[in-house]
Amino acid sequence: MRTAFGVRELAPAFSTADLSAVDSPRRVAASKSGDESPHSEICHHAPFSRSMPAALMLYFPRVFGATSPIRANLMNLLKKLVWVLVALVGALSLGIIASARGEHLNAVWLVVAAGCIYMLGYRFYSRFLAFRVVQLDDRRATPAERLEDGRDFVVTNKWVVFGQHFAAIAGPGPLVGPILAAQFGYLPGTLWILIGGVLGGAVQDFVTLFCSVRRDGKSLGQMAKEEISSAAGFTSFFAVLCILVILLAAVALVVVNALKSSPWGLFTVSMTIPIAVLMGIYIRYLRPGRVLETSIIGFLLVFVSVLGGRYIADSPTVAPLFTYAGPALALMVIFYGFAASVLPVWLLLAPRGYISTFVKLGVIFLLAVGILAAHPQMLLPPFTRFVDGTGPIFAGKIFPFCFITIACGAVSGFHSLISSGTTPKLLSQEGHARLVGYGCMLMESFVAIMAMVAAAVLEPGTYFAVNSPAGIVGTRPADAVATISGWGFPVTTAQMADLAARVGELTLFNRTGGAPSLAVGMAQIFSHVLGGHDVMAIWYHFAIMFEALFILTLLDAGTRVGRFMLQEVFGYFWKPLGRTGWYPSIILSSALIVAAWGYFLYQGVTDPLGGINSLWPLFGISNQLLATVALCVCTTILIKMDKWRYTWVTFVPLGWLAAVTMTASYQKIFAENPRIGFLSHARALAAQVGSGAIPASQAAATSRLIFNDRLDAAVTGIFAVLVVVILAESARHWWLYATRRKRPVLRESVVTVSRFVPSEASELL
Amino acid sequence: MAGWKKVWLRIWEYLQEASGERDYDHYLAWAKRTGLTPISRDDFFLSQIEARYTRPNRCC
Repeated sequence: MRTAFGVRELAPAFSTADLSAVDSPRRVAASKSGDESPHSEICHHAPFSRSMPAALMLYFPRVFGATSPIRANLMNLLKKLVWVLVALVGALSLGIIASARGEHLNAVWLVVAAGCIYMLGYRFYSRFLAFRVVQLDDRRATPAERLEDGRDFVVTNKWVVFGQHFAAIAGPGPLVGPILAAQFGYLPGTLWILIGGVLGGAVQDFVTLFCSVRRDGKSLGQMAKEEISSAAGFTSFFAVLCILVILLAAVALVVVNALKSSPWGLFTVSMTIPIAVLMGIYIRYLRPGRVLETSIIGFLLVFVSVLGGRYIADSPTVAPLFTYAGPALALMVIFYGFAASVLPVWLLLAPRGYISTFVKLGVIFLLAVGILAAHPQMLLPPFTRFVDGTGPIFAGKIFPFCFITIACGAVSGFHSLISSGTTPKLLSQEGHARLVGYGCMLMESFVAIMAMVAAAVLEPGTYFAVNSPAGIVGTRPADAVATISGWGFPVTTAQMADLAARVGELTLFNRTGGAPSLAVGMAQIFSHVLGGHDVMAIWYHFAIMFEALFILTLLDAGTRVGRFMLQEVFGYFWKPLGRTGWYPSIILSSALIVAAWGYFLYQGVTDPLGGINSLWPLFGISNQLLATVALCVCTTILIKMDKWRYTWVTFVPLGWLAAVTMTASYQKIFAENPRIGFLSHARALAAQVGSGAIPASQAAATSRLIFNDRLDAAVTGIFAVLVVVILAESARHWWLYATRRKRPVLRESVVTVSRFVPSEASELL
Repeated sequence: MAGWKKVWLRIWEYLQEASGERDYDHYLAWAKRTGLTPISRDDFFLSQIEARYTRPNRCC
């Protein structure tokens, strides 16, 4: 059965200039009547029954006719004018954003500037990458065509691939990172998202996808091993495992902080588990394969649970059953992650994946519409005082910490795993890699811009009251508002109490992690457009549910992937442990992965400085480490393709990321400021223990904190060493190729003619 | 009205394709082209979701 999204074979490649070659019904009718005069078409048809352009073509054929050179020149000029206009509008918007001082800027300027930059980036830079740098060739058959097996390698419509790829790369990162980085003001993060996205992240995603398509869909690790060396392949594998552990801990911390002391939130998120199980049974036994239907039912049930959460929160008997502090919630999340990893995937993991994908995409769309409809004022200044590195959410200056805090919205190494995963096996033509690889990353970058807007529409005092940890501003609301007001961001306890009541929470103080403040911002935007302030609580908890839903989906999917990776390693030592279906192996490897990220999660939850201060930079460093691996692979492949003059497209972002990652690693290990440097913090705590400043009852907890600091320093050091290894190994090979001491061998798949191009093109191959 | 119906139908078809609901139909078409005996819908979907979650398929 062919749908509108089937892929046409032997689609004729023609442009508007070739329309004259196509017989129009009018011309056929005229030739049949024997009247071939140029004006016969005018006599046979009513003059005003068609559109203006068609009428122009009819009455002024010499100027507007399909083959008219004047028309072709006019169209070209019009296209150029459109792009000049886009550039002018983008430049004007950026100028307004950059020069706004002391007055509140409307968020629409940010959205317009971002939109223009993305359009220009896609139209010009991606075109340059596609046609000059990598030279995409639609005449070559892709692996989806050559290796088609109906399951993994499937020729798929480009828009379907686009949707699937975007759903895979859109995670919590572009939502949380900008919220945290907003402590510097909205401008530094915004500029990094725009510049990093267009020149870094989208380039990485696109070139990695292209490289994988030319190599039968090989993964990043396999490409690193084959195109650079085995050391690079091992580094890539180890980097993926490390980033998984830190990533899962960091996002789990975001969820735990979002659900602390929140009976409504915990009830709603808890209900997604039995709802997912019901969906799993429904789709497995009752309506096999009916993904959409099942997802709609699941979404409706989840929405009912969002509405029902209010009654749970208002009930004096039931609310305490859903009210827990951070450590207890952390244990629940750890147990959940383990259970989801060992249970059959169709029962819990897959149904959660379906519903979280649809909810995520729907909410992103709603947020975009909401921002455009509400056109809110951005109350956060372009720069705050915390550019000096004394920020409460995480310590450190804009360089390097802004660039590792915002990863997924600008440059994310994890995307290279997706770009070299399923997607390259689905592309029907190489040319589609531009839309899917580059275009999807620009969309992801746009999501990050919207998250920045959601943070910036909050009152600055509210933003810092929600995101600042108790260790910085104090546990009592009065102390917190005094500290934050002293920073120059006025806020009162009455204001925060009123906001908490409006969103249906007990308190919004010390709700670190980014998710609650994002939810408040989104609730303000949504309620402005639909429902008003009376439904702000529902919108807030809907936003919390949406974030928690896809973070937990990421958690169980990531745990499962980590389990498979461990089993692969164990299999080298003892074969039975490598069997993915053997339950003792499943339980052992799942337990190890969960224990690894669970440890960091618990550490973050009990950190008095707020776990985000240590975990999120660790996550950012590990993510950029993976980006370094991906860009090294891309640069190496470009060199092997003899594209020396174009290697700067990947080398420049690589150099930038290496500088950012190494600087951040160095500062996190050795900085003298205890809020930044792990070792100096450990030394400060040890000194306090030694001087007796810490009571004996807290000695054990302090010892654990000292150990955690040293562990975090060691982990950071390992990441830094991995970056050095991959850079050194790559540079060594580049030097050998440059001095012609080694012949570059390009390991691309065999070239065959695609059946999706006109047959005459095969002569060119 | 017919125009709107067509739009909704297109959107529904797109969602079916993107969500993987039509993957089995594509698999059957491929099996028919190649002359291979297809597996059942149940086995197909089970194997697909198993394979999907053995590799990184969700970003941060």
